[in-house]
Amino acid sequence: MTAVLEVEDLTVRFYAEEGVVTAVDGLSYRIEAGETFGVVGESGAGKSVAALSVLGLIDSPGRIEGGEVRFEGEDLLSMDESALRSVRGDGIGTVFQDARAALNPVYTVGEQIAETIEHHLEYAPSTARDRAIRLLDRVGIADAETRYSDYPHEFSGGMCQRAAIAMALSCDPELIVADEPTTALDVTVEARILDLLAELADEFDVAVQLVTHDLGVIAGTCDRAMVMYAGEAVETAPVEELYYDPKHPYTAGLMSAIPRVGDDDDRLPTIPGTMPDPIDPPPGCRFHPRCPFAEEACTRTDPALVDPETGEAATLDDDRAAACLEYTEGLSGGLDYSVEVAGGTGEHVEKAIDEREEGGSDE
Amino acid sequence: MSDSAEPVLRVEGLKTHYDSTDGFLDRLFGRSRRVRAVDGVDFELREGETLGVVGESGCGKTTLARSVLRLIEPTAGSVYHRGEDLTALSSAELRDRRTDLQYVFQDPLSSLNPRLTAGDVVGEPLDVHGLATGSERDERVRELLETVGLNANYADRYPHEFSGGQQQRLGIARALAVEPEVIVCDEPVSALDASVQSQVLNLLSDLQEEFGLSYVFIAHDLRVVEHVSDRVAVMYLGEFVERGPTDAVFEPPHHPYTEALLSAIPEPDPLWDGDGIRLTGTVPSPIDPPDGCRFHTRCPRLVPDANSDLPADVWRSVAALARRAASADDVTSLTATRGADDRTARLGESTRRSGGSSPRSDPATGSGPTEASRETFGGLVREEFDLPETLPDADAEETLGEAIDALYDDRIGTAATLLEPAFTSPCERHHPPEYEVGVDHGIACLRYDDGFDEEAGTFEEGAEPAGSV
Repeated sequence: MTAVLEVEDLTVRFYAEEGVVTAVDGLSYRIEAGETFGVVGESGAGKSVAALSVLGLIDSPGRIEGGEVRFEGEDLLSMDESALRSVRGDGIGTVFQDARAALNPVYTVGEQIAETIEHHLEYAPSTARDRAIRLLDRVGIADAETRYSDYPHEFSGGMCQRAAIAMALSCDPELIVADEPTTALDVTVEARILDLLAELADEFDVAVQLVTHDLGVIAGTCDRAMVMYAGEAVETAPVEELYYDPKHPYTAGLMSAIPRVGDDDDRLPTIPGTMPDPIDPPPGCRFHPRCPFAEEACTRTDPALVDPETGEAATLDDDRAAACLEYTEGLSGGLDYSVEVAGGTGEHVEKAIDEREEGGSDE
Repeated sequence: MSDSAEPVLRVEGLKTHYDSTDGFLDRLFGRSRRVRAVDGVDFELREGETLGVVGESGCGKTTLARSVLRLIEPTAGSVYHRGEDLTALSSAELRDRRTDLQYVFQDPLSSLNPRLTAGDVVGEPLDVHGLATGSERDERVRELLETVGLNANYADRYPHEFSGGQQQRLGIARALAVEPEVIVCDEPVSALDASVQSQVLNLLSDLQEEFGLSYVFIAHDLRVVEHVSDRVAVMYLGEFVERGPTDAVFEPPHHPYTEALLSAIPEPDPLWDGDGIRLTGTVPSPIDPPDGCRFHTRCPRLVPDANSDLPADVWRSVAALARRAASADDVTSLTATRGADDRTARLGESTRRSGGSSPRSDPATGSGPTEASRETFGGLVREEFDLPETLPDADAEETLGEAIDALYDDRIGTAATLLEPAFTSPCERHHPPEYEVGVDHGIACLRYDDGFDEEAGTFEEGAEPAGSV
């Protein structure tokens, strides 16, 4: 296995009027060739900033302050704009949340895809057009030849996202960065777009960094996933382990907060409180004010990302890592939660978080 | 519980149509376009219960929610609150009614006046309805803020100083201020993060218990709806296609649309096999909704014609061709894209790696599909609609062959006419009424008609479904 993308110790800060926001703080991860890697977290976790950094799209007042982003071994952060441009599109394709906004409203959808192909692959216009039509057809746009000349406003939301996927694939990239690609879509459309992404990732042998807030989306499509909280990675794991054996209390809390069909409980387990103020994050572990298992030590020591089995510092090659003091110093109360697989069929997983305070407050 | 027989809210035949006639020219030529956003909806909301309404965007959920409280004036139908018809009230009377009927909006921030402090946002309904003044008002505001889990000292802050979850709590506090009986919640948690969403859902259920509230809860997320609702209504293109107690709706028998929605839920479990039904296309335009059952254009369980001997899925594929032919104005839209079966990636690969700067061309792909041979053309049509090379039924194959001949000669109309008699589903002709399938559980689908033969998957010979033609 070779890593397509390696991000090491990435730190991104935004210099806002109110103060300095560390949006991404010492983030490291790798994506293997052909794998689908999920990045999950709530708004403000830093997942989109991390994705934009990979694309070199961080603008003032944001600044990449440190770290490396290696794409096929080359550091993107030290490249000049023209080299970066050729990597973008050619090596890395992108799919954004709002596909309609990502498409230029005054050019036809087909022209935009063909233009990318002409530019990056140096195709003749007519050949680029043919390729664009075949791509549109491949991503499931009926009557692609006629639709080629439609403008983005003539496409539905789901079709725009399909066109965006066609554009991302148009130059045969090694990696696609998809930032909340299905968030704006209906469930029925979402399910089909996710199926399509998975199918194409396989067919085109392309790696995908899938950024989403929805753990359900990650479960169905990803090989491995990283959970982010307040700018940091709190857990990385292959998806099955992440869902059946979460090592970080935030991961467990996030999963228990999803209402599940067939669950008769009247109340949902919650994570009390909200994301901390990014300008002034809490000391120690950033999750401690909301963590039901937090102890005094958590308010002082910022836990490092470690292998939860051995407690040794996690490296880029580790598949499994979590950032909780339980795995280094050990918490006196331990992490008291368990995963229940309901129904015995493995169809639903339910997390029971014991001794969790039911705080209704947002404070 | 004064009169348990009379529901808090009873909606009968509610219709809300918009006029979307585009400007002067349309009017000049008399082209009127009516968007039938809500088209005949009935429901009852009982005391202390939550009625969930689900559906895709464009189904008319929000229009329904707003029409019920007359935030949008309904075109027809009645909304009875405690036996009195809201649609007949004058605006002054309606305003008085607002102390019983409140609304929580989807986007918390844009529903709050940015120039009012949190205290004034919550206090405004008290002023408008003259419920409290002076120190009593301030006391009530503090109490309300605390009820929804906000710090009472935040009364002087402005909405933008709150987080999304807190803003939604403010919106709920404002709705609670008049001590209403009914709150219509329009996607109250869809703008919130998972962890905050569960907090707000718990708050809503606590308040319901404490104040005996009844909710109409609009949402697109079935997981949320299943969690909060006592009864659920599934909406499609302005109509309810299924309604019943939550457990019954989430268990078979289903309306095919409900079934499709359920199988599309992204389940947070990596081992869960979600390869269920996938709907094609999007919700059709409510300006000109499909005849018969409105869902028939996307329905994976479309009922085949009773005289057909084809397997149901093959029949549906031909029927899809017939439908497309009836509305297409260009033959190319009925064929697979040429060369689509060549792997796009590979094609790129072969020419791309050879380097060099001169523009080059792919192998010639020819032009329109009708310039291909009749045989290739037929193959392309069959490929587009997933049809086998020959249909297993000789009569059907003959009809299809003739239709493809007609298409090849660019006579789309003829092809449509050829296919129509044998490939029109009863679902296209009959608008299904609501069939009772269980206690309080109704499904508007012809498959639940008495004349439907489950084993054959079609209507019994001669049986006419009940629905209006």
